[in-house]
Amino acid sequence: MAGTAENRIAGARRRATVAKAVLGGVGALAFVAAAGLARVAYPGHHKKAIRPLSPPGRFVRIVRENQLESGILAPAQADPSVASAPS
Amino acid sequence: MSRFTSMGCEVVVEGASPHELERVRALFEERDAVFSRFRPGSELNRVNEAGGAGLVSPIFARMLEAALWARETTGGLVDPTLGAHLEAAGYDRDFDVLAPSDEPAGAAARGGVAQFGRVLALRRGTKLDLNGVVKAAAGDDTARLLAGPGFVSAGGDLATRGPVDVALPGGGSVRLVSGGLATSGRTKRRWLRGDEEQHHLIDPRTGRPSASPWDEVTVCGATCLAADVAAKAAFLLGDDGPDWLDGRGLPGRFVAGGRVHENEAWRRSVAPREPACT
Repeated sequence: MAGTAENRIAGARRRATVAKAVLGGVGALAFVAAAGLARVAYPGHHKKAIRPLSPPGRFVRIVRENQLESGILAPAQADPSVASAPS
Repeated sequence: MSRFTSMGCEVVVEGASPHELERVRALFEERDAVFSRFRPGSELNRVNEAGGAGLVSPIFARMLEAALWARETTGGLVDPTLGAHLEAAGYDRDFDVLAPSDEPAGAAARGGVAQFGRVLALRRGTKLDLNGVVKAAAGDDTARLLAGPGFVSAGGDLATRGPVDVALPGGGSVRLVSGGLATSGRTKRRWLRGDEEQHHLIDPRTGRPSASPWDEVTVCGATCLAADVAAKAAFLLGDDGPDWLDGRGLPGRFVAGGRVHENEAWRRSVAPREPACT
């Protein structure tokens, strides 16, 4: 009788160990799945590689070239008060 | 109208109060002390002699940044690293004491410079020459010191606050309403080396004084700096200069052998306006 009881207790312990392992594994998988879903679905999270906020190089180049802007000329209206010449 | 000499040229100031005139004069003097190639203690000479990498003053960094912008904007034509080429051509002392020499002009290796804020790095043998940019920027900076209408002309490079009528190379005149007007050319700073005429506008493509067909190029820009940079580039581009300026909407006037050529933007600017319909 005593041996049968010990066998039943040992079997119960094995089943409990397996159940704990299964529950732990499922819990870990659920955690990883939830974290993955959060990463994909959370609105504030970037989903692609971050691109710098600086404007594209071509745009910067165009703006810098445009700094070479014209002043305003008009036909002369009086005797010149100064001369432009090579310095 | 007040006149004084700085940076090897005559500075003309119109419309400045005595206090403003003092500030204008001080600014030119300060820039000359920092950027002169002919003052042994100038920061420019210290930088050129030291070579390699080093920390520069805020104003030096600002002017170098402007010079590198000029180089980028002109596709490398207006290059601040041609100081050694200028010296090789014979311009190695103050222009007033430059004498003809039988010795032919030499050559110099291509220079290189990189800037990271106030840190700059010079390639070995590179000598910076920031004179054109510094003079034009000094015109812009001092014109901003004027409270009312007036202008500042540094050796003929003009920055204005208010309309001013300006005499032009080759005859004629124009009204500069706003911005700057600058003339670049080979008619003033030229000298002989081994019977060959040299001038100060070095073509970075050859490392030698430019063989441009133009004697003088005058350009109107939003600032004196823009006008000066564009005038130099248009001069160096030779026959392509007028179209290059038109492509950027910049009025340019070219003089060669006494003949004047105006680009499309210049002609449009000075064409008489018809009265608007009412």
